[in-house]
Amino acid sequence: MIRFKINDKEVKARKGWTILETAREYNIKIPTLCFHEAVAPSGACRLCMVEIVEGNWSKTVASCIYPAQEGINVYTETDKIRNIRRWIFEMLLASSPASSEIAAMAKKYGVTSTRFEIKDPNETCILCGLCARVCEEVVGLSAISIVDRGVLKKIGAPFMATTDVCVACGCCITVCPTSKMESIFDNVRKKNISTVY
Amino acid sequence: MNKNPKTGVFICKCGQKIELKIDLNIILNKLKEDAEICRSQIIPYPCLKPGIEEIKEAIADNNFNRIVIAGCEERLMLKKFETELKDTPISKKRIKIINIRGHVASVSDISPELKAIKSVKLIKSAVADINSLKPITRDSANVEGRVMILGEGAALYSAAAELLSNGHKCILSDFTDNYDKAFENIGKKYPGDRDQDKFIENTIKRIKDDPNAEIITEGKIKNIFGITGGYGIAVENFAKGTNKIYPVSAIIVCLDGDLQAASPECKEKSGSVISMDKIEKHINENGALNKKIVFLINDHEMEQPEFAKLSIKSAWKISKRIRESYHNSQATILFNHKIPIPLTPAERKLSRELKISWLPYSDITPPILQQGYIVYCDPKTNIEKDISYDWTVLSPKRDIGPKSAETIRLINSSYIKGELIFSADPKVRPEMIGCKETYVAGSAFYPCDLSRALTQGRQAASKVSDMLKESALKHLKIPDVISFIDPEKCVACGLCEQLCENGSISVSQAEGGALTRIIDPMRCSGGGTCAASCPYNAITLQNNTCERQERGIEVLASQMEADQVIALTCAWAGTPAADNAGKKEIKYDHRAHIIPVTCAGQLDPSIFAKAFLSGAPGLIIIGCDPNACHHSYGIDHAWSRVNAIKKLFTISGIDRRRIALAHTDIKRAENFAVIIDHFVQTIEKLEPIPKTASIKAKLNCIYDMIKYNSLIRHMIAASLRLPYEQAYRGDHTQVLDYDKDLTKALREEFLKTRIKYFLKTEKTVFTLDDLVKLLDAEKRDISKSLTELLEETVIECEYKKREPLFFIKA
Repeated sequence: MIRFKINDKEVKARKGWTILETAREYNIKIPTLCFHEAVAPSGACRLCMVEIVEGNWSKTVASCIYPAQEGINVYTETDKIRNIRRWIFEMLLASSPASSEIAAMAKKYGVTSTRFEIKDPNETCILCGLCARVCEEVVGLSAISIVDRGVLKKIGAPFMATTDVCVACGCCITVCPTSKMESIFDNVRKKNISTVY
Repeated sequence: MNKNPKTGVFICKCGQKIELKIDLNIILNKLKEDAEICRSQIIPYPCLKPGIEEIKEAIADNNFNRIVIAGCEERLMLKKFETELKDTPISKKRIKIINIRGHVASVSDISPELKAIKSVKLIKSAVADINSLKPITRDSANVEGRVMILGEGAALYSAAAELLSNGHKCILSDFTDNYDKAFENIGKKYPGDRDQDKFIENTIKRIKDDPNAEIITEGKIKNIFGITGGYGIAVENFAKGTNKIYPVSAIIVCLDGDLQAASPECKEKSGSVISMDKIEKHINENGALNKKIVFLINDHEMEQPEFAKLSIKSAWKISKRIRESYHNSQATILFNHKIPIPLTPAERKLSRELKISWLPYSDITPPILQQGYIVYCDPKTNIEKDISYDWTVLSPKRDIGPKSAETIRLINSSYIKGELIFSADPKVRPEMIGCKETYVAGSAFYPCDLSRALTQGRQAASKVSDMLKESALKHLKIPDVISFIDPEKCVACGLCEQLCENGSISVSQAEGGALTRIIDPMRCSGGGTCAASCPYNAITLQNNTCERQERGIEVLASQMEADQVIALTCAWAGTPAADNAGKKEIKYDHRAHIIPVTCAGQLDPSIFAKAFLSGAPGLIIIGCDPNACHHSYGIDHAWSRVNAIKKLFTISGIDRRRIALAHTDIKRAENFAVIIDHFVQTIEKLEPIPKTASIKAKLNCIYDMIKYNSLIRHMIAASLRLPYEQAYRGDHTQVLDYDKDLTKALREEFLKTRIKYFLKTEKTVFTLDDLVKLLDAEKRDISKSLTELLEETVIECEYKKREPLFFIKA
């Protein structure tokens, strides 16, 4: 049994639990975006950042992948964390300005505008990679993945063309935190049932 | 393992997503009264590590052997629970997840108490469903032994080479060790393709010498039977008049498209207009000195544009050879300007060096063949121009030769559509099917050149080789849900074999009287339409049986109120649409209760009948669009079954609008809400089904008949759309005739069922007049039915005062 504190509240965890899992067990809210129960956490969106205070120094970690440790003091709502969240939301608003889901979530945390440059005003994807992870881990297919690198990263099937590998189960649409997957789904699945060999 | 079900229910709070909207304590209290449930408990997040540990402890403490989790999407979460609970008695298929978050909590505005009551209904139904599961666990599949390479396609060389290199044994059916003959055969199918000569020569030598390769030299293949790992090839043995059986483990089919001479109107006696497959022979005989040769790529004009690229490649290869060997000749390729030239940069350079001219023509008017000239339209200027020729080479007409068609008939997993052979490709998750690929190769399946055909052969062989290796390591898994044919009940009617989209059903032996069918567990995708259509109930969908589904729907239907409906949603359209509607919080009528199923096509009509018998006022089946069904035409099959129920409703005086079929798509969550709203409103307007004994008896008869009457089940099954058919069977000209016959048969059989049911329940004797009065039917119809029932010796009659008295046979 691992004992530690979240927001000064004593919590108990077992080996292998993460801070996020422990917090959820104790009904402590930490916002997440790229986290989904069906797949392994990836720590991509950094929205679940928490502050771990030890003595007079502290560090910020992604709670979805940080394991629970004996005696640590975790804080989910410090100025530092709020600041990080604000930055992340501003960046998300710049990278996926067309997503109403992200805008609504950001508003909940008090962010309504961004000071970063908006490259594509129609973009809704936040590149959390949930769709690709679900396709690989849950469906077992990897019909879609993150293609290209750096600023060119996007989600799609190989060569951005419809693929036979996709069985159109729609898991990616259900887990997508925005409506991106729904809009590109027809670029991935093939509609007819019989295929030429 | 304990056979009696001990089921635990875990209710998810999902943070506050469920807790705030549904009164979980009501659920807990209501479930306590249910005898089928051992224990139920609320967990904040059953899907996270703390929750899973809690579930594990509960399983260990209470000896659960089945669990139901009321939380979110089954299609997303099931795999995680299966992996996490692997080491507990809750093995695969003993977990059921129902989506109360997406199907109850977020989709309506009713109070948390009412939502709790709705959730309880769904949970009880899920528990009843999983409690009637008879789990069947299987070992890994066993595939070992020789591999058959069937057909005479060029891919056989690469397939054989690959198998032999991997140390497997193979049998070849159409193999010639004569080099000239082999090259002639290939030349006929792939004109101009000589790049692979060396490889083919080496392979022929290798096959001849290798003891692992056996060649069937005499006799015609008469039949192929059995399943993956245990096929039998029956070869007609002329000498003894019997069949010789070759046992093989897997089959690779290599077939090439046949090339026919181009359209007959272009034939000219002088031989100046020839087909592509003849040109090489022609040049060898006549030489090509100072000749102007024009290749006219007229595939578009012959209405086979998919082959244009191939023809153009062959033309390029032949003209290259001509220009290399006859320097004074001229070669021109006249092609439709829409075809992109399929040459690599190096080939383009070579083409320029060899001075082969490429002339595009516009297809606003087709090129016209004249004596010595071809008139064509220049696409740039739209001016008609002439080009002179000594010889014109036309594209060949491509199709499937009679021999290939015969082979396809034998293997049963592919079908012919136009000029190509197709194999159905069920779009299901990898764990749902053992081996998805049909091992086929060659230009009869895909318009391709020789090197591509050889690659396909090699790929097919390497996949088979992988399968054999995996089997040796016992890694070859059989899916959990597959169909199984009871050989005792099978009457060998062969309907299922026709209906199966995967070609997984075949005869179990080479010859004999009743050739009972057998299902290939490696090829079955668990679509289950075979089970739902078997007239004799010989097929069961293991681990997802009709009984299980019936039980689930029975429990839900028995809790329905007069304006509530059940929606059966298919896993590929209805359920995802419902899940997404839940995620987007799209509101729809709360009176709809959703039961997810795998495919609408696996629903036996008895499930529909059961729902109404148990008290459901309305039932809607929400599946895919007909052209998007993941199991070929499962949704069309559901249509035929729903149709039969509708007819029976009309016959028995129940409103036929109570059952409906709807189509949706993963992306159309809004449409899902519209479907539900409309259907609930329809049901709401109807008068409730009267709870009289006569209606109850009629519903009972509908159930009995649709489940056990082989005649009716046969009639429905025979009308179902087959995997290769483009249109509904009911779409052809005799649609009304068929419908009339079906209605008549339903009417007659229904009356017979009613008489039987009546005599059985009343347990006394009746005169004809009694029956006419009690069953409210025409005297003539009843007496006819009675005669038939007497002939079938289902009922008996005895005479008293010269009047016949009927009673059921003990």
